[in-house]
Amino acid sequence: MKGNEQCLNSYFIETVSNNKTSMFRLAYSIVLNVEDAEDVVGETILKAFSHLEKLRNHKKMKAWIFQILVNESKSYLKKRSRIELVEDSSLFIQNEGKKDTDSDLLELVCQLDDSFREVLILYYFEEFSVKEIAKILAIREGTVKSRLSRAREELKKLMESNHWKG
Amino acid sequence: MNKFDKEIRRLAKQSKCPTSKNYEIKINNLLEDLGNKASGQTTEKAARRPFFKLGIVACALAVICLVSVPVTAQIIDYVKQRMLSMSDNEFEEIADSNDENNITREHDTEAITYSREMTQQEEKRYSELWDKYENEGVFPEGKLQIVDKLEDSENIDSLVYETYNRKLFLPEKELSDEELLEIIDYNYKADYVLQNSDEAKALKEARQKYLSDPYPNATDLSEEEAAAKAAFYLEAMYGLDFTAMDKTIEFVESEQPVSDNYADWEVTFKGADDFKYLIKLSQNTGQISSVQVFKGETFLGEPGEDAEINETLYTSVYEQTKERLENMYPSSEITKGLIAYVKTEDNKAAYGVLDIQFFTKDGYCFYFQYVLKDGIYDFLFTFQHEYDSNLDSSKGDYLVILMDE
Repeated sequence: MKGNEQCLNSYFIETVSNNKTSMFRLAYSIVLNVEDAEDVVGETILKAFSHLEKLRNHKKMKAWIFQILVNESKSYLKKRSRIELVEDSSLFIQNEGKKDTDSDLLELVCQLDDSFREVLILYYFEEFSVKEIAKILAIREGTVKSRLSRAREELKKLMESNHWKG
Repeated sequence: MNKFDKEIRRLAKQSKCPTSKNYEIKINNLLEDLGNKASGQTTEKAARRPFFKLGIVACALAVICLVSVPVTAQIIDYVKQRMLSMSDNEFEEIADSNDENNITREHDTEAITYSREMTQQEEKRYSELWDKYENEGVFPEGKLQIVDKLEDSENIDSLVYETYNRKLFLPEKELSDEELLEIIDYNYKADYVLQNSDEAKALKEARQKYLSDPYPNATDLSEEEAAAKAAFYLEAMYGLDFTAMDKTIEFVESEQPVSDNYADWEVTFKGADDFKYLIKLSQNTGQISSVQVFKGETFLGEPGEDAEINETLYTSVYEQTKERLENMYPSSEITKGLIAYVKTEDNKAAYGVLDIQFFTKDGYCFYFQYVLKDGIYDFLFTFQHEYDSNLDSSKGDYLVILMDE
């Protein structure tokens, strides 16, 4: 089915192009480093493209790509074996010099536990449904909901303790 | 959604992404490379085509046997087909449960609670089976046991869902694959009913109307009904999402009325993948009189060369068709089913066409004609009597094989 293969390739490229920022954000929330996150996104794109024939339902392409992205990010972490948040002036290029009163939500989220970061990013930033998040993270829906609930509580505490103004 | 939730969403939208200055360029270059590589691969395959084609002709039978919809909807939404195959009773049961528990579309549904945590093994298998459910159409044999209250359950040591408390009671022993699939299946169905209650109600009414009187009187089919019936057919027969397709509808009067067919509604659905489905419905009888499938402007499903035929192949086609019919009309009770073709001197199916007929308990006959080379149903008729095939028997004998009785 040559025609269908070309359609699928085009659809893949379009999906990635439309979501490249989102992909970076999720990868960054896991690996907590700009350069590493960009590498992870690149690896994810290559891996997903080479396994495109395994995707049966093109409508699920975005969630499928994100699933690969999560796995690649975690594999990267294991290889790197360095998990602490790196305080680097190059990290937030666009927010350089801005702290506290103008902190970005992403910065705060990245200070939480990894399991909370993932669900917060996928739910609030990428607006996946609970079901989709469960699939991407390979956990139960109930687990997603309870993590979200706890993550919200932790985020709230963090915002209050930082006198966060948003 | 509470105030804090809304606030997080608002902040998330405003959030800036800390990418490097070259990130966008890097990704765009990577995508461009992939696009070029894919084009390069296509060119190589085209060069090999003559030899490849010979191979295809030689093993055509094997291909057809394995294929469900070989040309049109290659991407089959198994979940959607599963949801569409839900009986009216099951749909209503879940809808009623949603109503009783005040679960509405806008309500942020509470998590279903579990009587115990799943073990690590169960979690792992649950995830794997979920994937198979979505991507391979692996479904449970049975259904999740559902009770209003646990005390109503006959066997409290088995898997049971209590709607009153939205609690899933897991037996102490390790959950089997079947039980895990039942949980997955119910989750999907509950969500589907929630999302589609209005549309499903409209479709159910259309189905009920059709089933109660599949052979309605003249002028009974309105434009809206024709469009609904055509869409219903596409979904049930090919698993296609007609809502994602462009639709046109035209009223065409016959220049020379044939039998009692004076005019047709011609409903055309056009997909993004260059496939076009032209469904003709008789305005007089309300029946689908033909379904034509095109790729671009090329008509598929044209009877062609005589085709190899064997028991495995025609059984496969029969079972597939039966499944599609049951998908369309879950409440239809098939009492008899047969497959037929014109058998040529060299034991082939003349023109590569098969007839498939089903007779239901309420006295209707559903007649399909299937073109082997493209895997297309050329048309579907419904009659209140047995239908004499229109296949040209000058090429051989019309052979009838009884499949179900």
